[in-house]
Amino acid sequence: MTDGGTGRLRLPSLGDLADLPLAAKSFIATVVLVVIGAILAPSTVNSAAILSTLPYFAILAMPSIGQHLVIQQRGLDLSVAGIMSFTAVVVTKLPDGSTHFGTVMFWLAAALAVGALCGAITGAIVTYLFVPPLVATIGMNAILYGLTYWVSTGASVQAPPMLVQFFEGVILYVPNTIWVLAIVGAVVVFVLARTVIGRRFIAVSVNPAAAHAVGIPLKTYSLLTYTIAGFLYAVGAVMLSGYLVSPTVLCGLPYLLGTIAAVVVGGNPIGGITKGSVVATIIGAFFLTYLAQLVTALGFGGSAEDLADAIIVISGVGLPEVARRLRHA
Amino acid sequence: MRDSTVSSLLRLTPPLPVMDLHRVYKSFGPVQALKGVDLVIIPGEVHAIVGENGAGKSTLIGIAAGVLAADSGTIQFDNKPVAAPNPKSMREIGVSVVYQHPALAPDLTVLENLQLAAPTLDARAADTLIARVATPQLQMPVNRRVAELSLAQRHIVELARALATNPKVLFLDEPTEPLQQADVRKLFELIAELKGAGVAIVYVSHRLHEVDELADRISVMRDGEIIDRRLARAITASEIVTLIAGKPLAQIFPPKAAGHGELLFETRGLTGRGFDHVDMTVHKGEIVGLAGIEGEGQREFIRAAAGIDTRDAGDITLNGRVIRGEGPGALRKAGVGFISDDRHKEGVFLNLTLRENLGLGFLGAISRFGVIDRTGESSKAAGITEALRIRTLSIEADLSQLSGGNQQKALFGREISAEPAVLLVDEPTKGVDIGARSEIYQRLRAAADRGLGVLVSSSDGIELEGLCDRVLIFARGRVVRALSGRDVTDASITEANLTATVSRAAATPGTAARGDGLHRLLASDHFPAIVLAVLTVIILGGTQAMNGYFLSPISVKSILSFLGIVTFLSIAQLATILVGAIDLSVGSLAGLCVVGASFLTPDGADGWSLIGGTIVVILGALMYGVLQGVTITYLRLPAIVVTIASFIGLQGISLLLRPTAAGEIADEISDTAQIPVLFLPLAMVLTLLVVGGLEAVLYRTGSGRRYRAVGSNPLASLRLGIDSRRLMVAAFALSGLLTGIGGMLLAGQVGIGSPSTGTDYTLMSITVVVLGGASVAGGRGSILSTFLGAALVQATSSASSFIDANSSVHYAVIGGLTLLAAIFFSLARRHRIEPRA
Repeated sequence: MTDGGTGRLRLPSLGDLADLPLAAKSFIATVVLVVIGAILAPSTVNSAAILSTLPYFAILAMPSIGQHLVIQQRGLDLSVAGIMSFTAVVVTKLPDGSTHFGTVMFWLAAALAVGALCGAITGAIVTYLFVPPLVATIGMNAILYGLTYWVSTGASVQAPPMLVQFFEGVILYVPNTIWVLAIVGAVVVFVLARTVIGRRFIAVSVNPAAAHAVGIPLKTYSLLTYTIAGFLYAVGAVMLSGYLVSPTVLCGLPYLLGTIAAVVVGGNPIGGITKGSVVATIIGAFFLTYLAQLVTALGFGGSAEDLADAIIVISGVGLPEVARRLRHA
Repeated sequence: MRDSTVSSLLRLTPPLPVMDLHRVYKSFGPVQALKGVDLVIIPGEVHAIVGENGAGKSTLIGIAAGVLAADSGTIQFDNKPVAAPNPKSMREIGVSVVYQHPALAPDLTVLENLQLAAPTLDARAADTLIARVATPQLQMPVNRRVAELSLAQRHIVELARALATNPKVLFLDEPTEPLQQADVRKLFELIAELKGAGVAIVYVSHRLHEVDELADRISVMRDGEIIDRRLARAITASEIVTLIAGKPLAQIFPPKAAGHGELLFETRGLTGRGFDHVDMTVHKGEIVGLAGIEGEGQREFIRAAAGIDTRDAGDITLNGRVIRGEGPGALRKAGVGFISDDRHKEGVFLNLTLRENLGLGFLGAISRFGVIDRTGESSKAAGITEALRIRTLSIEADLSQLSGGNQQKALFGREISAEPAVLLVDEPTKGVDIGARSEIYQRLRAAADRGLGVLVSSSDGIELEGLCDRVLIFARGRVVRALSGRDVTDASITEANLTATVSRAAATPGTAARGDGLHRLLASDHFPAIVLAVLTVIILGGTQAMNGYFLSPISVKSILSFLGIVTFLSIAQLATILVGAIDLSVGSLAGLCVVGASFLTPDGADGWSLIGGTIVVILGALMYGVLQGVTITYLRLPAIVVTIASFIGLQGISLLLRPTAAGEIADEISDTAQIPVLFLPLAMVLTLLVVGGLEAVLYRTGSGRRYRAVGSNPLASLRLGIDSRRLMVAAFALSGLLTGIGGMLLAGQVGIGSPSTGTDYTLMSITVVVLGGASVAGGRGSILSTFLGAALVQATSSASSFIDANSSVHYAVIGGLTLLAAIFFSLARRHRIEPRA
């Protein structure tokens, strides 16, 4: 399966080990981690453990794809936590325990729409009012925290049983959360690799001025990026609500660093410039999820996981640079 | 009389060179930019260096200025070898450079920019200097911010700064490009005066008539070598032309068209920034050139005609039909192709493959329902690569691996593959070596022969002479003359340029020196401070009016305590934002200080161990800042990623140390902070002292200027020899130190080792910095305004919790304030002029 153009689906061959595509690099790193994990804590690699890891992986990978798109468009989205927390409240609190299919679907659609809308607002502030992405998303995040507390009145609520049933479910031995990720991931990868829209999106991220010169509407792409990202955060939040049954009020918080970490661990550069790989980001999300499980299995609590994440992110951006220096030294 | 004495003296004793570059080599990756260049610079002499774009002139200047390090070769100054040249040492021994693109910090004032090079210069001396180098039209008050100056005025500041250090050797790189005739005369007088005073002048230009007028000695550069050097009187203009081009013109350029077809492309009354009511036509099969001195409107015109920049009025017609819609999208669709003069920035996609670059020209033709046919794309791309003889290993090679000439061919191929009716080309051979240059001329002519219309804007008279059927001369944004047939020569283009500009009436100062009073007030540094102070008073007064208990002594005391904390943490944030970075770890680090205080300054400890503990906490925060700064600076990592990881990691450590709030902190910490000094608590006095002290350092000292310059324009800082890495580490160290102090104040207020108290302060610090009017991109911000921003945030926060204790309001208010302030400042400063780099 040679996909030389984008390097996105290419598998490593002996010929180009030196210049592996990002997805292959992050895949190898993940295999190495799992092997280490299997030695240190064999319990983390039995099928039950893997099966229980998969939903968390899917839930992290989903918003990470959104973060990936924003980072590729030279932004950085710090509103992940706010959008996820708020949309989780929309889909859990507002249906009010309803078992009626229509009601649940309505609030599910509402949650996704709210996510996309929040993304669109941030996108508009960045695109049309020229506010740096960092400031726009940090402000939006705070406002959404406020809304989350206000709507939830500070208490967590159980998700509608229908959602719980679906997201805890399994089809053909594969958790439904993974199915959702597979479908969304495949669509994003296909659009980026094979369509005119995807090619233009990549052109904008690699060189906005040149993209403008070939007639690509930059503002539309910028606005759409944040909107789609917001939508994907909301999808992640819905999955999280269904799987956790009763998410905490600020359930999106871990995903602020988590999504950035997944992009970084995937080896993607911060700030566009080169093409980047969504598959690598998804693999990065698996890496982090497994790492968290390993840290727990080794007997460290949740706070150690924060520390491990932090170290991973800094090494993720730092090691390539250190390696480059050593090669040139 | 004196002249003859001097020259007879010179004849007797050979002139001693002041500066001597010997066998200088320099390569960038595979490209050999300089291949053993020798340059001897003699006092009181104007030494012109001429050559095409890409001949190596700029690299040579970079090495002489100490900005670039030569791969090998030596530099001697006053007969002494210069050991390790860097911008600062070269400036100190007496080498100044006037760059083609001024290396100024836009957020600093004119005076501050001059002081970056000459720290002791005062305002009066700066005024005198500006008056000495500029005509009255271009003079400006020295307290004006550089961002508000026109391009020509920036060149004046650049020139003044080069002279501020009284150099012995002055390099001028295309100094007349944005200048008008009167200003050029002024510059030439200045050069004569400097020459008389024994300054050696190295004058780099492609304007041969200027070189002819000024130069005592001429060196011709081509492909990284000086291929000839002679006394100016021993060389003729046409000899220079042949030397520059490498071979007689007839061999480089294709034959011109015998005639042309029907009318194809037309602009009617096209008006925009820099050009005014331009009517012009291009026929099928014709290559039309646009000429003019830089800044006369031809570049702005061709960009607007391609839809890249917006136009204010006028129609663009193709095949008799007015093109509807604006922007490059609409024009390309109608059949207008465009090739920019800045290939890397606006032309190619360096990190995409050759196939992908070419494919962007014909995506429509190879896709169905928006899905790209990859086989079709590859075969079409391979076809273009072969037809244009683009030299590459494969169509899957990244464009960055191709040479400049081949990149330009790829760009040309992409535009042609879009099958335009007319092709607009801005500087068709900029940065292209001589071999590829000729090929590009052939391709442009071949395209015209197939019936395309071609419009070329070029600053190279020889190129226009060789390539174009017709040339239009721009001046003051209008077409003032048209040359065609045999009149299309470099000489007549130059002459037309000169007469067009000579006849110009006393021009308006610059193109866009702007600023009505209101706009200037909105964009000033003090504006945020005034607004913030007023808002703070309104909020405090309003809340007091609603509830008389709000400003009770105890409540005021609490507001002041938290104001101190917010101020310290916000200044910590500002310290990194000013140099163009950011520190998202501020909140977590302050939180960890609280946890640290609960161990190191526990309740019941004696005085000395409390002092010791406090110092350890603050030093720890300082060390962490240094560590963070070193990581970011020396590994060149994005500050945002490192500090956000830090934010989470530090919080993890806090939680490990104190899983739940525990460990009482000694009351003495908060008691000490509350000791009244001059009616204010000690902590507040300390806060005010730090605010005042840092503001003075930032705006009144050389270090403060350099600090802001690094954030404002890293490239300019590099050229001035400012050690931006050290300043970056210092910024994070300062951030750590201030966070440590703020953290200890917070510890005193919280009173217990709670693991999560600090986290909200990251957001709050950014809000405060944005409210204070600092630019998040760096270079601009005031500590005083930040303090007032902190006052507003604290007032709002206290007021909202006084009215309604619900934390939802608090978050929403802070978030809303951040967005509103950011939007306001972004729009208020939108009008500053960004010169094209």
